[in-house]
Amino acid sequence: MLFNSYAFIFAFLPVALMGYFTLNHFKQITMGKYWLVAASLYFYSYWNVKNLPLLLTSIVVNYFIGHYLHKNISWKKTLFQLGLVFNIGLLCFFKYAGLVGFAQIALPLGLSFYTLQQIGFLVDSYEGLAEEKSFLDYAVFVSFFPQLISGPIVHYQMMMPQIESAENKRFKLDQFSLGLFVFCIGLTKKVLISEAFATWAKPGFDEHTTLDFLLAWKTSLSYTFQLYFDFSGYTDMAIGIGHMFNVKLPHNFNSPFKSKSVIEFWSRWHMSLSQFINTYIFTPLVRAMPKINFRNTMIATFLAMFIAGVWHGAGWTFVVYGALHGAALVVNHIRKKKKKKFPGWLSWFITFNFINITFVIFRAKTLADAGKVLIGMMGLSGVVVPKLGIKSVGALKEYGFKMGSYLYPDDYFLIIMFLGTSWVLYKFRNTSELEKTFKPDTRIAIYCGIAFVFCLFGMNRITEFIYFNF
Amino acid sequence: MRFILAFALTATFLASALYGLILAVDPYNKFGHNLFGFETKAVDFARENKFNQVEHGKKDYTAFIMGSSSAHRYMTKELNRLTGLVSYNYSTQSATPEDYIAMTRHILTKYKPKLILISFGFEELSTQTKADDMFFSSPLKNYLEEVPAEELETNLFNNSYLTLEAIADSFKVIWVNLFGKALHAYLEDGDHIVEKRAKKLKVSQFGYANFEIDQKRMGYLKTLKELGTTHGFNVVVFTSPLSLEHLNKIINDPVLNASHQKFKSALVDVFGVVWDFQTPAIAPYNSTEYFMDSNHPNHHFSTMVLEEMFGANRIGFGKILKK
Repeated sequence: MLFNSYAFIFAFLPVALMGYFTLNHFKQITMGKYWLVAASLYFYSYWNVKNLPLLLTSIVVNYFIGHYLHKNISWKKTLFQLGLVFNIGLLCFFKYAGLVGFAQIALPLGLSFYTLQQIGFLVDSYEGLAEEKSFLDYAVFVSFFPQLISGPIVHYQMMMPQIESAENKRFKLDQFSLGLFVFCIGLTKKVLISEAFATWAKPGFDEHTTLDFLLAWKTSLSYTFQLYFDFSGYTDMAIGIGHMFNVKLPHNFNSPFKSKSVIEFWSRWHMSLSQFINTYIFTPLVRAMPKINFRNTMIATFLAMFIAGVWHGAGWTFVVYGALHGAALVVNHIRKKKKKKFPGWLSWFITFNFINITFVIFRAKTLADAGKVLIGMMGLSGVVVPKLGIKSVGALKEYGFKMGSYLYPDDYFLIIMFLGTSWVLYKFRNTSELEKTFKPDTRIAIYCGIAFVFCLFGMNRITEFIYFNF
Repeated sequence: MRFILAFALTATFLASALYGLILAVDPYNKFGHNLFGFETKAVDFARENKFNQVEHGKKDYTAFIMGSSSAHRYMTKELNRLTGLVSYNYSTQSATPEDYIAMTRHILTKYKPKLILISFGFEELSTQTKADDMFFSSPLKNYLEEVPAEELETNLFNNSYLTLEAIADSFKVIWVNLFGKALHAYLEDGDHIVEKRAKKLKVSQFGYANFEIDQKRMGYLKTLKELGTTHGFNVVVFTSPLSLEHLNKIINDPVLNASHQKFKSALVDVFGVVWDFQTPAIAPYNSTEYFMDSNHPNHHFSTMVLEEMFGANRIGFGKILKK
């Protein structure tokens, strides 16, 4: 079930919370954990119960590997490597089987995320940074439903002490209020904002065969905004639910569109994935290099980003996406090393447009589809000028300019949405900043209540979160 | 606690108020009541109006015009003049083949028609175009043999009323009834009021993407054609005129153009002969003298279309498609 569904908000979540805190209230701590695991597995199975055996198998296998990594065994390294092969193999099989001639199997929901999370656990276990003696606790860590499907990817040592803390076993009104506040922000982002941009993005990518200049930019910018509000909305809801359970999950976004460089962008976008890549891919790659110098570090940077791109799926679009970002990071580091800087506004402009363009590649089903949009963005498929006070393009006709029709009410709404959301993104504090300064006052509660109700009315569409596909 | 209470009270009050408003206004006429005595609802309940006119008609109608709003302006007096029949304009907004088969069956319970004239829009045969909600809340639904189960249920948590659109439409209903006037008024015989000439020929928004012929709808049309054979009435069909700008958007897009040809072929397959007014021959008529907007011919042009099909002196802007 989706976070933005009636079944989740009015049935599953209240029951899950009540069961968990009631059992803890009566000092049934173990039963409380069983309840949490059962609720999480039910949440997961609701999508497709056929995915459940794989999740359970993954939990069991990784638990036992992690468990034995703490024993004094001679084949510890081999066991660790087997663990990595198991997890990476699982990911590769489901993501890339189609590429090597096998029939493409539908990617089980959340596989990418819970596999990465467990890889992190195995590495931490191998290095003595994490240990879990209880299978039940480990199951809680992996299956905790707010972050099971699409992250944020959490470290074991970050999450489990919070679950174990006696203080967190009781229902806390202040945490619940905070959770409700953050959840409402996420719900609004997803239901009211992301879905609006989705209706403008989809036709350009999936229906039109050519896109004129304005339509191409409308399509690309709509998708960029859709992706951000969809994913950050989901994360906010996950974090909000985590708070309700007295678990503080890490934020995934920190105003990424304010970034003035690609380096900065990756420190603000999908932060838990960036941290995972940095800790578990980039750093080992650097260490594996014959010599740690700038050149080799850049090679590792490129490779790590390339892997991050390919992690999203088995398609040339993701290969190109990862490669472009890898290259951009390298260029960025080189410029930084040479202390070369653009003026602030230019840095932002270049960064935002680079992100926007690469998101076109990210979204397109094929490179040809991406090319269709990008060609349109360059004006090579013509420029259709809307009838806004002018009746003719005159001599510009020779340069591919054409007169279009009047703007529809929907176009005006789109402009308002772009301007409005841009203003909010740049002027207002983001969710993590709001969370830090949250005070449960009546005025905020009323705003949340109003937003919540409009979201309830907006939820009557069949939608999914974009990152469920990865 | 104060935060949660304030949240809960705000949410409960606002949700109840909005949903209560929607149920009270009943903008899509799903519950069939009119508590505030509105002259018109958000989506004009034309079907119910016209159903009642046909049901209780005083004239012995022998010809019927069907189609969506693009067929509103075919005047019955002009068709009467050209055919010698007594006609009724049964066209309604967003009509689809579900409407046409239901209307035909309804007509046959009361009249002995000799001619049914149907105007088809490009989008009407597409799986992407859903039958209008208003069809399923009108008496016409009883004349469609298969009504989707979910459309027959009307309950308090009816999905289409738990939407932002329903909120907007409810306020629209109140606004129009307090400050505006009903845009659609049907005269005797289902004729549409004559409006002022439009100032600009706007291209209407359209959605022809992912066009796939809806086979169920083709089934309805085949049944309609068979009813014509059984009950002795002619079925004359034509493609609804589009302005040149609108048409060019279709034919200049290879995918849309292919879909457009599929649409025409599908009609020819069923009816054998189709009058096609969606061709570049429409070029001389590409102005507000002939169109209200890009897919609604005005009264003058609608009369010209009737003359083209039934008159003695054809101009030639209508193409005949045959098997």
